[in-house]
Amino acid sequence: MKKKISTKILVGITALVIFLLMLYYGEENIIKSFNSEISSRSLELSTKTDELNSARDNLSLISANLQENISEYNELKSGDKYHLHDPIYEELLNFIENDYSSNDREVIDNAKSQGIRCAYVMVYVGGLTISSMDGSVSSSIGGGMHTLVGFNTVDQGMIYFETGTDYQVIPIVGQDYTDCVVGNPYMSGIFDNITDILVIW
Amino acid sequence: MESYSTEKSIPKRKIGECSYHLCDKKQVELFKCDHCKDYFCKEHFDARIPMLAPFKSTDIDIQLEWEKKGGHPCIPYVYYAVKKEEELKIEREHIYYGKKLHVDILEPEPEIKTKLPEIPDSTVKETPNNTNFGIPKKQITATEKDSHEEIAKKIDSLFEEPVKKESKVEKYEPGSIEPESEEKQIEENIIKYIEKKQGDSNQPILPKSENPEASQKILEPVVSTENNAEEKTVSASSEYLIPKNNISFVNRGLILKIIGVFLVILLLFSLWLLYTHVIEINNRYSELSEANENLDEITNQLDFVNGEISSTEASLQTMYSNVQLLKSGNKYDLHDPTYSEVIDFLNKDKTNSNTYNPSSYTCAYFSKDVNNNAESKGVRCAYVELSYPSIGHAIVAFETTDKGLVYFEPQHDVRASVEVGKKFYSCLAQLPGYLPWEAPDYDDTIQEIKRFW
Repeated sequence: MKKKISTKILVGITALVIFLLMLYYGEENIIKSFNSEISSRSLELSTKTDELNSARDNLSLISANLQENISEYNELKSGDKYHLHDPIYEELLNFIENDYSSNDREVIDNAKSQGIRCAYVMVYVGGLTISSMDGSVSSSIGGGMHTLVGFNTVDQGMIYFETGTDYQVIPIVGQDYTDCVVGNPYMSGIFDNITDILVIW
Repeated sequence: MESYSTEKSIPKRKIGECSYHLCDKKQVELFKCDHCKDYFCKEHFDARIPMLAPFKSTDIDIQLEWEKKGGHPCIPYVYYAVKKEEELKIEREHIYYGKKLHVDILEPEPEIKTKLPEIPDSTVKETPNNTNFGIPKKQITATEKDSHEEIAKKIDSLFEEPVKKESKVEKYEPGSIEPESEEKQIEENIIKYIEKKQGDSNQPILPKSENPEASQKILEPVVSTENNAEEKTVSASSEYLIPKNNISFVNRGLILKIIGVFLVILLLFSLWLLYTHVIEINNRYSELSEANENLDEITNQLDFVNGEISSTEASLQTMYSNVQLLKSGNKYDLHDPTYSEVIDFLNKDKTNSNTYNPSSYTCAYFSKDVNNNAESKGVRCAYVELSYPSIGHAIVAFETTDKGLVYFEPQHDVRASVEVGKKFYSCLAQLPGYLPWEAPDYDDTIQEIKRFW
């Protein structure tokens, strides 16, 4: 009886050992899998880190270049009433957006104080002129002058604005002034045909 | 095969596992070996003389016997074989003398008193001499009884001394051979015997022990058996003197112990390996998690940096374009002139030579042309609007560095000292060689002065 129990115990221990060894083998595979995955992750991490460092270097380079360009841009656009430049359209829009002056003279002074070359513009519109028989002017209906500010942008040419409304105007001699205002905010008038445009820098 | 079975209560057949250690049969019909009392399958039922490692013998008969298939090594069978050999030897010796003596007479049996199994058979009758020899004699017929008693008496008288010696041994007095040492002695004798048999098998050699009494004990149960083999009786003393399967049990136990220790060590080692592996797996898992976290973090950072690069590149592109545009545009560097510079400029400027036309070239045109010409020369100049009560007028102005703000009538290049409330014609400087300025036919009183620089 004792012998059989011992044998059973030994068989049990053997089975347990085999089971443990199988577990060990399974765990060995798990560890190998883990090691493989860790190696893969490490490699990927190393690659990503290199890529990140490279990207950071690139970003630093681009940022430095951008900073240099910004400095140059600021230097180019900087100025005062003695040092003027023709603005780019984006710069002009930015100026108009941030300027709250109500009349032409103030707008021109503000623009020139920032180094932006600005013109005082007179748009003559012809009214109905009634002449006498001898040719002398006796009377007229309508006519007169619209005043604007103008900028000779380097990218889009001359740009005109009404200072009171900030409406952009594209004055063309021979056309009605109201039709030349962008967006047609005004009702069509009579006797407001543009006859001449004076740009005074 | 002759049987010496004394355990009649044990069935001779049963179902179970074969006791032969090399047999892996289970749940087969088993047969009880009459020598070792173990159960074996049909194949391993036959008893054979065991052989020691390396299981080689110089005796070809023994070697062939050993190499036979089937059977099982049986230690008690050795006694049986010894007994048989002894009987044959005795028979051979007495053939020449014409008479065969009973083996009990030649070699008296020692007296064994302890642990005699009780034999339920009432027909068995022990003689006083049997008590001395310790051998229950079974199945003795009544007709043979007298002759046996007589022979026994003769034996007693002939072997008085050996019996006394045997009785001393069997008492197990302190100082005498202990049962355990006896067992060891028995094992040694058997091993020696088997070795001897393997080494020199020309003649059967009985085990020679250093302790003749012990060796006597080994052999006596076999020798003291009833001479008539057909009666198949065995001395109960063999139960005591020769432990059944003693050596195989000891060896097997030792082997099992060794295997057990080895397995336990292997088990502990396996557990240790598993433990280390579990720790390693945990470490690897942590490492992998950390690597994944780092990878995610690096990936996020990389995405962020790449986004930054994209936006910065776009900004740079825009900024570069703006810079190029600004560089392509004109620059205007103006300065406030001196008064003499203004005079010089006006003398050189020919705007004043233009003809006034009330419908196409008015004062505003004169002023515009002078202003633009001045600025094209780098001279800062202002377009000035003068408001009269009904109409207006346009002139130019310069902020001189030496005489301050000065106004000029661009149609005549005449300086004008304009002031609000004054008549404009009265503000004009007198031209040398010309008559004084006359008042116009409209009111030219200056009400407001607007300068557009």
